[in-house]
Amino acid sequence: MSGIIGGVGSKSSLIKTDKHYRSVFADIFPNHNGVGIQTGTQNLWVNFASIQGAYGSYGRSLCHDPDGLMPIPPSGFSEAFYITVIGGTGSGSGIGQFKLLDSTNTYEAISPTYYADGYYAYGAQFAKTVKVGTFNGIALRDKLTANTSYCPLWYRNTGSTGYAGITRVILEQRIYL
Amino acid sequence: MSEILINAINHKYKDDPIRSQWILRGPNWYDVEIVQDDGDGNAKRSATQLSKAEVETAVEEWLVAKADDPTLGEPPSNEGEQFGQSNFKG
Repeated sequence: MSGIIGGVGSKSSLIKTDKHYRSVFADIFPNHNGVGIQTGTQNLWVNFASIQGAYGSYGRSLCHDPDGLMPIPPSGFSEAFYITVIGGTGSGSGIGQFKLLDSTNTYEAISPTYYADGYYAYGAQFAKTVKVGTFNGIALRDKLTANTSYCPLWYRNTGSTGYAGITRVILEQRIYL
Repeated sequence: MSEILINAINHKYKDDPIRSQWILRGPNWYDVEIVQDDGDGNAKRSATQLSKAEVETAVEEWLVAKADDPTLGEPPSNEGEQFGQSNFKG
């Protein structure tokens, strides 16, 4: 076969090894029937969502292989996880910032990242997409395999007045050839 | 409803040292949580909380204040430019 995938006439030769092949998405917030979260408090971090890991005998994480929505890609493919935070700020000087930690709040896979500021509204669709790094060298999917594991998302308003809000968070698994 | 609730809480309690620290979350429109620093830079639930009646009072007062002064809670005129195309003016 000498590297040809799909045989004569296919366009597989156009797919380079660093090409994004496909993505899988999952909403991980809102996690109840609220429309979002808002804070008028300055600087204090608020734990508002978690990426759930395994629990008990049957609970699986989104990344569980092979039962999850985002299993380990087949041989020859690689993956990266991204998080998109969507929200806004209001009353003049709200400034929104988020981060992703491990369950002990020791290691950051996403360090504090601004996603919105200024005068608009908490429900605005300003969005920030950030690649999930490692938790001190441990990948997200490996952080979710232990029983009762989870990775919390935090956010805060760094503005002295105003408020910051979030209406949606999306976890994305990007798969590469 | 959240937008009104945010403005109502800000309007009534913005100068209150305890009640100006809040988070809105939960399934009910009146779910306001007063928070404080847990000593580690994270928000924790305060012993002081607003009753539903207090939230309703704040909303009623906000609606009256907003009717009297429609500019309350609105962007200053110079910041309103971000809503349109005026940033592109030469």
